[in-house]
This record gives sequence, C-alpha cells and structure tokens, in this order.
Amino acid sequence: MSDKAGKPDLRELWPARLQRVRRSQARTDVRGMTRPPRDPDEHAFLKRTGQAGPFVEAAKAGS
Amino acid sequence: MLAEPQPLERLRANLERILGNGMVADPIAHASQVADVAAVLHEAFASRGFLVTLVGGSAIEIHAPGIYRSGDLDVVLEATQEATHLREEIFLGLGFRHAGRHWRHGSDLFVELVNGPVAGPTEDVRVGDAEFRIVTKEVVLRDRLVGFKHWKYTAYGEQAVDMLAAFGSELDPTWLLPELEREDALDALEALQQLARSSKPITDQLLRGMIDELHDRERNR
Repeated sequence: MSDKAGKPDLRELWPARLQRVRRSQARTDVRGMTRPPRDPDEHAFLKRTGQAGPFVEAAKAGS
Repeated sequence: MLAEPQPLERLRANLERILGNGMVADPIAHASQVADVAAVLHEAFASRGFLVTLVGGSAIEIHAPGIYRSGDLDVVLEATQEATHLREEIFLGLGFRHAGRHWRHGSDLFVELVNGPVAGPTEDVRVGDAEFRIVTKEVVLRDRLVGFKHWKYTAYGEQAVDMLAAFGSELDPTWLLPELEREDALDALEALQQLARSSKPITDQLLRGMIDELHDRERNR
C-alpha cells in the first residue's frame, strides 16, 4: 500500500457521485423506512451523539 | 515482509488530531475523516499481522459520500499470523475503550468488529494520503440488494437506489451479476435500476410494494 502513484485518489470521483446521490435523494421521503436493529451499545452511542440517522430500526421488516 | 510498525503513540496522536473537532457534517469532509480513521486503523493493525477491511455503511460512504454518514465504522480484522492476542493492546494503544463487544474513541467514534472472513472482493484504495483496504462498491451494493429483497428492509432499497445513481455505468458486472443470481436477488437489482432511472418519488410505501411484487413473482414462477 505504499505505492501512492499507482492508485487513483477516490476523492476525484466523489463530487460527481455526491451530485447524483443528492439528485436521487431529492425525490426520496425516508419516513417509515426500515433497517435492521443495531446492537444496544451501538444504538445508545449513536443516539447520544445524534448520529442514529432517520431510519426505523425493526427486528423484523416486511410488509 | 511486514513494514516496520509505526509507534502506537504516534498513531494515537494522529487519531486525536483527526477527531479533534468531532465528526464533521459535510458529506465529503465526513468521508475524508472516515478515510483518515480507516488509514490509522490500517497502519496500526496491518503492520502488526492483521488484515483490516472496511465494510458496511462506512464502506458505502467511502464509495459514495452522502448516502450514509456516521461515526460508526464496521471493520473486519483478520489475524494473518499469531497476532490475535495483540488486538486489545493495539486498540488500547490507539486510545480506544471497550464498549461491550465494540471499541469507542472519545465521544464521536465507534468501531464495530464484524466477524470475518470478508464476504466478497476487496480493494486497496487511496483517499488523499489515506490508504486502506475496503470491500468493493459491488459488494456494498450486493449487501443492500439482498437485505432489501430477502430481509425486506426498505432503507436498504433506498440506499441501493442511491448507489445505483451514484455509480451509474462504473459498476463492474463481472462479479456482481453472478453473485446476485446466486443470492436470488438479480430481480431486485433490475427493479431498483428501473426506479433509479425513473423520476418517481421514492417512499417506504413504494419500496414495500416492490418487495411484495418481487415475492409474488417468485411464488408464481
């Protein structure tokens, strides 16, 4: 991993990818969307630091 | 041959510098910060006999900032020699503290050790001066597509749509398509690709309907 010259810098790809993500998210309403439950320690940490994100943690998803 | 390990004190100081002002909010700056942390972990562990791979949500962030943003890194640590006993020593030397089965650094960083081996191809990447190993973008997309179809998590469908938008034609189908066929999730890719190309509003209800449709089609096969 010491050969920096041969490895492209991922940062060069980020602005265009972020722009496309933002376009996609502009038509997204995440309310009610579900994700797997986190480990209790992780859940508590993310909640305390305001990093828990917008998704609903659900043990069993589905419709 | 392994490179000469950098002293943990120096790496700990690097980590403290990276996290000095907490995790930042801007998606690009946040992804750079995650990359810098991943590089410190790589530096600390790889030179001491471990293979370190970034997986999960933080790997999504490195491939496509803006989809996922958290100070919660999922890492697979595989010992490549008789090094397992060093794991705790290295984390403590970097200034981490045990938090259940995880490791926490200050109030902003949480590292979850995911059981290995890594399920899929990996690559060594560079973000500025930060170098580390990560699962490929096709792996993180596979994980979300499978979670969407089989576990029925709609947030995974939403993240998959964002990834499809972000990666566009950069995706390499060579590994992805046979893998999705094996996972019985090729139809989820096709359905979400169609959604990504459309201008339809993406909602929980729409994604639930798509999951139902995928399963109905399967039952009627």
